[in-house]
Amino acid sequence: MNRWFAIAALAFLLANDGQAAGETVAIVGAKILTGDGEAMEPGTVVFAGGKITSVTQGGAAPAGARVVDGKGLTVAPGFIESGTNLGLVEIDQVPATHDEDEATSPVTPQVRVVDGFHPGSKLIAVARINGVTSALVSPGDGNVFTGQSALVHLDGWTLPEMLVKAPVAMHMGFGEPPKARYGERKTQPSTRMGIAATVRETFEKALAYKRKKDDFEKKSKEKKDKDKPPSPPDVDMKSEALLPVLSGALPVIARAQRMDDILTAIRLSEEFHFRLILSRAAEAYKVAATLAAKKIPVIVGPIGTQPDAIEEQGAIYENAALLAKAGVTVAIESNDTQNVRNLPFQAGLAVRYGMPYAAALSAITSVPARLFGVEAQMGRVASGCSADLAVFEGDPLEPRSKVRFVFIAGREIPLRSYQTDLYDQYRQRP
Amino acid sequence: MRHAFAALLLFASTPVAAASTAVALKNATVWTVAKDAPEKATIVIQDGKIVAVGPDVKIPSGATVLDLTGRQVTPGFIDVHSHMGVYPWPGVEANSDGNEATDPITPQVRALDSFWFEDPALYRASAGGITAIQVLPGSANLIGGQAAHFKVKPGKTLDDMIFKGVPRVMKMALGENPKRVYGERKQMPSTRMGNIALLRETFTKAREYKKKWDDFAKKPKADQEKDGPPDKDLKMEALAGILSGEIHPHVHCYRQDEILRIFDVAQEFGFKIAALHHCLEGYKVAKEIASHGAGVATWPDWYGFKVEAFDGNPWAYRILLDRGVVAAIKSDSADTVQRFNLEAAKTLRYGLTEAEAMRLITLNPAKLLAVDARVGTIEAGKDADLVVFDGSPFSTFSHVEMTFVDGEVAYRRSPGARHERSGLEATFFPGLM
Repeated sequence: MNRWFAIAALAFLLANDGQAAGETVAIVGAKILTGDGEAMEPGTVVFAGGKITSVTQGGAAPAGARVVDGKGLTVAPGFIESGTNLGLVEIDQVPATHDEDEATSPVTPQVRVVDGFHPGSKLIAVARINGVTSALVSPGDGNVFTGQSALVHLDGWTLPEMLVKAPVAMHMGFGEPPKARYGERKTQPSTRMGIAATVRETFEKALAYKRKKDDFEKKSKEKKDKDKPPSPPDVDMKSEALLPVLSGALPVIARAQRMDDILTAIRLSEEFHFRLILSRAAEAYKVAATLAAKKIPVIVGPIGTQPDAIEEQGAIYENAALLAKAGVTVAIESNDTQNVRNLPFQAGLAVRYGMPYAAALSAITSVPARLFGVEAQMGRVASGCSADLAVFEGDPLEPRSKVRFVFIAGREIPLRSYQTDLYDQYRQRP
Repeated sequence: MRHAFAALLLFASTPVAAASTAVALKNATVWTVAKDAPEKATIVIQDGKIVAVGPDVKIPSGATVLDLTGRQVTPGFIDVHSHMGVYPWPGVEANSDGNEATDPITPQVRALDSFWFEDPALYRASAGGITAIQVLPGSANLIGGQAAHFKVKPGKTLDDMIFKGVPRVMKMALGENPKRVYGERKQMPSTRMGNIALLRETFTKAREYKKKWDDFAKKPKADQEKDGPPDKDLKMEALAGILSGEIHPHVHCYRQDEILRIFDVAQEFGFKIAALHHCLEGYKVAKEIASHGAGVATWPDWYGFKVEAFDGNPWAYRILLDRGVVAAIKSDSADTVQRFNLEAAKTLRYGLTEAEAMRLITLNPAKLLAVDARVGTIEAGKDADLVVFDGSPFSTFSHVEMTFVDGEVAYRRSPGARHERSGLEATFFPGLM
């Protein structure tokens, strides 16, 4: 075991060492899918210092660059998972490995996944060697306000090395999970109307807190009575966390499956003027025109939803395709933890059920980058973007296509995980 | 996609004939599985059976002919680990009939008696090309009950769906599930050693029971009439079936140590384990599995959901096949059966050939059920269980266009097709399906 770890670690060090020296890499002669609808063949992508420096049709490698022969290969932007507990959960059935769900109150907007993320998760390498290079690590489903997510690169020794952006969004939950959890405890919310009331009460409280803060600031500036300086309101961490939501600085990603839950989320977003992104959204297709008109993006997934839960009974394979057709901005998530690696196959299924190929690829690359406010930094094979690249033998959305190279911020990722180590160990058993 | 529209026109205007009339599927690329590579061939089916297949097959006069140019045909997919019908949709307590979790030893219960044949999941499975399933009781108990076998014919009744002639199978389970379910109740088993102890105790009793009946059978008729038969015990009756080899054990397991332990138990009591299910550490003891002669039914990439599943490995099939183990893909899920072929496609990324991958969902599961003489390949004499794709069966982008079971159309793709209907709609408005 240790032997294999040592080899893997050495390979990792060697691979990273090269890039530390500021190496320029050129992938030449590949088919390049840019992630925003363009394709180039043969294309050349050059990167240095962690960033893509040029993407050209038929271009040559710059002098002194390490050349990767891309003939017969397809380069895609590294995939961005839009909803996972990766790094927050290791083994589903072991509570000690769960840090995704602060299940002590329906209102926990103050919790941040950056404070629970485990960079040593063995699942991270499993995901990245299949081309998923970054992930929106999101809190669990059980509360009404579940906390603040973070976008991480799936490579690095520590969280600061991995972190791309935090917070990315405030996460909220509608429908079955909160009502099931708190219903069992005989506390609000035990119904859908209870969930909406909890949302209203929480935002009203945050608005009242904001008024007190504003009032204090105003009085502080006026400095009317020097003997009796104004006193600030007691700090309320929950309300503090919601202020950027109410100001429009931080979007809300709301998990809502049934059409009525989706409409409730929209109603509340208009009442309290927050930016809304829907996730899961099994029945979003039923209100596709509304979502398009209101410009509300949807993170759909998984595509092959099993209509097992009551709130998923309306799930259909064509959800993403119908939304895209109606003009809704669509991202796709695996909504998995162990199998984030299957994200591209979800996009492939969306294609099978009618989504244009380019839109499906964008739904796991440039669209999530845009939704998370990092479109200039990542999600495309474009000059200036982070060199997050996945290189395949074959179509990136097909399960059979082997992954040949993965680069994260320009670093070549050894195609190893604890699973490849186990394979190497046991295939040599006499 | 480009073939889909033509197919719809074709199929809409061609009523598929009654079972007694021959049907010829011509110009398709056929994965017979009997051969490694697909070939351009014609398949003739009649009375529910494949009567001929090959490039130069003569189409009988009067046959209904379907031109499948551009399509690929595979044997129907066989899932040896399903809970459809015993844990039907929607997944609510009222529908939960898969675990008789009142006693760790319940060999007397039969999945057949829980199976709800209107489970809407069956429609989507059929739309995914599944033609035969083994429905198992759950894994709460060490001995969970008897499996039921069905041909997937959504809309038909129970008797029409029963897959007759499949050897009986007993579901057994090891590891975390039984010890958790009963350990929480402070009842044996609460440990892995408790699991094995209780199994040995149970089979010891079964051996005694079987001996009583064997002794009775050996008595002269007059003595039999005078003494009367021993009392019948349905639990012991089913276990005696395992000891006699009539009932094949299929064992839910994960860790390599428990795989070896159950082989020891089997050897001690003189029976054979037919198949290991889940078996995520099977690759660690592949040679022992091969030497026992057990098959393996596992997942391509599920792992990590519990401690005993953490060492699951997508490369496992490569090691198992290299050691000569008969390995199959199974779902344990009403979800993955909707795209069972893509589970096979995933293994191509992990060192398998197309021929090997195709066998994982056709011939090999048939072998695990000992019905490979009936299903699992496209050969004359076999049941006409077929799947028609509009492209490669290994592509995400391909649709299942038709599924044949026993020569009849179980599923046909069309706009607004029944697989798009929800579970609740199916439950409350089955007439709409």
